[in-house]
Amino acid sequence: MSGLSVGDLRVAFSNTTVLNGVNVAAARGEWVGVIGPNGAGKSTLLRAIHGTVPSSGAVAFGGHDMGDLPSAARARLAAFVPQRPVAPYDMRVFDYVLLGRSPHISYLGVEGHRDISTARNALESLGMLSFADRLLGELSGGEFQQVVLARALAQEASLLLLDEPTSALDIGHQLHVLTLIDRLRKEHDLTVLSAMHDLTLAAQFCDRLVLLSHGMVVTDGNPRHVLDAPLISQHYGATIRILDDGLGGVVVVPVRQNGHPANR
Amino acid sequence: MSATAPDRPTRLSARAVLVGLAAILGAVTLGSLVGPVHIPFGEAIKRLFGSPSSLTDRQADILTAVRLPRVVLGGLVGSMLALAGASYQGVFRNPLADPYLLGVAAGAGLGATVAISAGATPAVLPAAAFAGAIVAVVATYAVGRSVGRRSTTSLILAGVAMASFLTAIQTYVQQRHTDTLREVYAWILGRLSTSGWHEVLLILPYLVFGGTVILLHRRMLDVLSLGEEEASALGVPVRRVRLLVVGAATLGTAAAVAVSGLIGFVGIIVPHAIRLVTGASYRVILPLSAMFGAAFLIIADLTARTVLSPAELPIGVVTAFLGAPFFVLVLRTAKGLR
Repeated sequence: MSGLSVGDLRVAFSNTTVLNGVNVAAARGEWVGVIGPNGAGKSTLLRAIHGTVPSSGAVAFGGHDMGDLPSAARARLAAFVPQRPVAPYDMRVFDYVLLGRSPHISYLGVEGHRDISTARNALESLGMLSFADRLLGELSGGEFQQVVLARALAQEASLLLLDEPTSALDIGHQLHVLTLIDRLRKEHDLTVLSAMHDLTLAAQFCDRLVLLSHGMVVTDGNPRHVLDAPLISQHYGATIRILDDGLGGVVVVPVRQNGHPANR
Repeated sequence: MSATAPDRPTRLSARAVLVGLAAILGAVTLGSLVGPVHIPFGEAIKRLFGSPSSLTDRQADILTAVRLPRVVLGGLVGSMLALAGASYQGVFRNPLADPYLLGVAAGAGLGATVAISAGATPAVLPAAAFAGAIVAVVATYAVGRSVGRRSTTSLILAGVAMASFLTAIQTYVQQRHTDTLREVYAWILGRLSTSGWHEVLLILPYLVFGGTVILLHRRMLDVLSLGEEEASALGVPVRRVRLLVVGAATLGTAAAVAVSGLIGFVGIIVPHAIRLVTGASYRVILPLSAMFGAAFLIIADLTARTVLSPAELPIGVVTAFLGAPFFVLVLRTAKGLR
């Protein structure tokens, strides 16, 4: 089954162009990170691929033209997780994960045995089965993020579109959740496209990065190639340094220009 | 009340249904037997099942032609208002949403006021109120859509504007016809009008239709609680769900309002009390709201007609007077109940 291909994607909101002819591709099983400054169009790109934002251009995944599919069929191919998912505080975790089965259930239908076992397996594979009877309002940020991933997994879509999946978490939980995503995509042969703010984590987890700026792709390639200090500095409007992490990866560090406390 | 295995979906438990049915049965019994004319329980049961009983003809008449229709009407109206309130809260994801959110009350109020002021016969009143309610909500929808299509906020704000506008006209008409002021006021405060089974039969089709459509959408309302974007991303046709559920709830509410006037608070406190005890799943909230809404309004109506007997209190006064403290009690104890 072929991966994701996005061709000449354009999105405009009331005369403001947000995406201006974006081309992105991701091979089956590949994790592609979308980076770029605020307002570059990262979230819009994910939404346009999923079809929740009107766009022009071609989006294909697994040999299907996503634009031609009805919304439920699209949701069976691609799961979208927004940056801040809504968490009804008094909803049970299991009921929440089960909502991921919606694209597989008819309009007025209810969940069957298979839906229930799929939701159960999704929770189990994230090590969250013991949380099934808890309420969403009782979970910590890290636990909720794992439950959200379980819901996306229960959707049984082969493409995961994640908008800043770890932006609300501390460093430890960021690493934990991204490691989980990496494990899930390998176990379930998922293609992952994620918008990432943290360039260091993006470099450590993504197979490939796409740098987006002003609605256009600036460059695209392996993290070492894309994370070029002058290029990133220019597009983020900040001085940054790219350092070797000593393990074969890179670390991106912002550098304050003047007034550094150490120099006072 | 929702005893469910940890790794199973929340379902309506048999126990919850039994408690709901017991509440309805208790309310119906009290509502039919208590009043200025005493009716003994055993004899009433005999009579209803066709066995010979010691009830006088007058007692039997009061039971079958006055009290029972009023109890059934109260149950139907309470059930519909609670169900519609739960639906509105679900669709708009707003805990303060009640069935009157989109102008049903103001529209029905204007319709009824115009009918009363014009000297129409009481028989015309429900039709006028119903028409006013439907026109108001259709106008709200049209205004809401013309402002912005993407959020429910524009619809809610359109409802606020429409309600104010229609209430202004209603107040104007009311002030111009001071001779009918009292009658209009009584209607606005709510009263279960009764002339035998006529009203029950009048509103039954709308309530059955509205209630069925809402209950069929119980899973959809759960999906909608994730918000418009995530529900769409799960392949749910959000706009269609919203239109159908709001349409069904509005139709049912308009029918209920047409025969009961404006009974506040039921649509807010009943679903919230249920939700506090059972959790967020609409597959539990909706059926239980319907059952407890019925029981609650029957008891409220019983209170309204007995406290100052032979005078009658407006039922809206009773729902708020009984409902507010009860709701505070549930709020305070809900954590322990779950």
